[in-house]
Amino acid sequence: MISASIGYFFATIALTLGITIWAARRNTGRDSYYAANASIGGFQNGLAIAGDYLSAGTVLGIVGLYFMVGADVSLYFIAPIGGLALSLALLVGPLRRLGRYTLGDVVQSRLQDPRMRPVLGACTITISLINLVAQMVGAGGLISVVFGLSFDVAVIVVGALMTFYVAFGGMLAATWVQIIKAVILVGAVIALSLLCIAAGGGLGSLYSRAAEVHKAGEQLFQFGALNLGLFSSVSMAVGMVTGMMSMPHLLIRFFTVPDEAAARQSLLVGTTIIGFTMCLVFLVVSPAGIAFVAGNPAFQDASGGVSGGSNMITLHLARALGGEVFLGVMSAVAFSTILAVVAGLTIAISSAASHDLVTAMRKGKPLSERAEVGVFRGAAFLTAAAAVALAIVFKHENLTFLIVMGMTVASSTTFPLLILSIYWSGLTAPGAIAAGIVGLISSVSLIVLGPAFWVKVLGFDEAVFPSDYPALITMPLAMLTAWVVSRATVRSSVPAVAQP
Amino acid sequence: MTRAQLGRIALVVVLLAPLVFFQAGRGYAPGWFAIPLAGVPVSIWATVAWFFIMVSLAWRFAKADAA
Repeated sequence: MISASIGYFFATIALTLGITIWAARRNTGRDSYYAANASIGGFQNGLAIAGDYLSAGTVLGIVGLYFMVGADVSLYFIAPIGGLALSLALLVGPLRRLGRYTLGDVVQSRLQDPRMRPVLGACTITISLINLVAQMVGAGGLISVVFGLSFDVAVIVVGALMTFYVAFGGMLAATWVQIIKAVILVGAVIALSLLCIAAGGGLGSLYSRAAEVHKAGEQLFQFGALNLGLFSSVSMAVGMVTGMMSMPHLLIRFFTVPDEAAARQSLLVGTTIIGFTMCLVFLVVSPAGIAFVAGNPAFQDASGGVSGGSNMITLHLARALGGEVFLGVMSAVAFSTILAVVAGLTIAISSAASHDLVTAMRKGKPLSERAEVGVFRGAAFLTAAAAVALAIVFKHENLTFLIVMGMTVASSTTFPLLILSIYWSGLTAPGAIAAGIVGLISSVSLIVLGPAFWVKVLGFDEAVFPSDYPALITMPLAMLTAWVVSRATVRSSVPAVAQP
Repeated sequence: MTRAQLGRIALVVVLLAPLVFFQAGRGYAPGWFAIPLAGVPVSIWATVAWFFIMVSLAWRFAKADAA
């Protein structure tokens, strides 16, 4: 197993490093590092969006979550696609018209106030860092299982690689890594699905077998296992739809295409690929993970749990059905998936730091192009260091849960700021700043006070806030703050002009 | 925001609402969701239908904007 997997891993690393070196020779400055010179075609960018979104959470985390709660994971699949459809209807056009490198550019262009930049920058960094930690947790678990390395060493290796990709290859390298990864991932999911159906003797037999071996039986395929209650269910859906519409690492992809038409085409292509792939993962791969991995002693650890944790079920499934060679292929696919997503996330964080935070610290006076690229590279290094440290702290969390937390913060910060700055002419800069700060503090605070963090991570007996999904409170709170402060400051501020 | 854009938001909300309601807890989904069709429960086929509806909506929105 080790030799086949090592070979595929090194082939993946060699390919991605080759792309980075190729891109580094073409990078000339800010435009190429942040936005690949807006030279990516619509279809290519669609593939890159799919590559950026189909993360470790999809390939590893959701299959693991299905293993625990069954069909209740459907909302994790469907709600983000609803968000992508609404992005197409409401955000993509104005975003491409108004932005250049970062979300800070979009809001700044409406409100003409440099104080907006640090707020958008802080929101972008927080959202992307949560997602980055999720990807690093997946990467650490994956490399631990395949190579037998410790989790900590594994995440340090991934951190070093992502720093290299972003610091030298910038957006061009990240884009091509994502495109290639999307093609390989879709091919691998199709191949794994066909193997699952063939090995199970048809889809119906696969479901019967899964129900037989899982302790929940037929209930596995019914909704309600998470027992969320109406508030958490609605709040999770609101957070995932609006969060998906405002994830910075996905939205900055629209700055890499030449015009609005290409931006719309790219999101349509991306949504279709994401929908198709996630549908296969839900319909075939996830129940097959139960049918072939649950109760199989080959994949159990000493305590009777799944070896490597629930996030590794996809890899166990690949090994059960395709042997060591297919395990090596799927491991390499999952690894390339993680590398592609961490590259996109690191670019979102680094560009927010070098373009929004530093510009704001200099009171709107931009750095020289060379100095800004230097700050961008330094930010990539610091981002990697922070992500490695946080991944070690959160290594036992489910990937999908962490990603949903990132969406919750996005729905409470970047979503209200983007929607209001584009569509509400009454928004003032103080209103937007207050909304961003309130949304960020309230969403992060309620996540920390919720059961998943307060009880599971910090070890308290009872959560202060009863739900893990606070978006239904924090997103309207940010909107209300924007309205109240904008109304109070409308005379002293120049209001934004609504952008239809 | 135009009426067409508000209509699109309402459409997505209405289409997602049943799934959100069913996931609130055991017993929220109708009993016939447990019936197997071709060996696969209706709940799973319903989720697959939701995938197609959401992706189709994206195509519909894009087509309308192109026109």
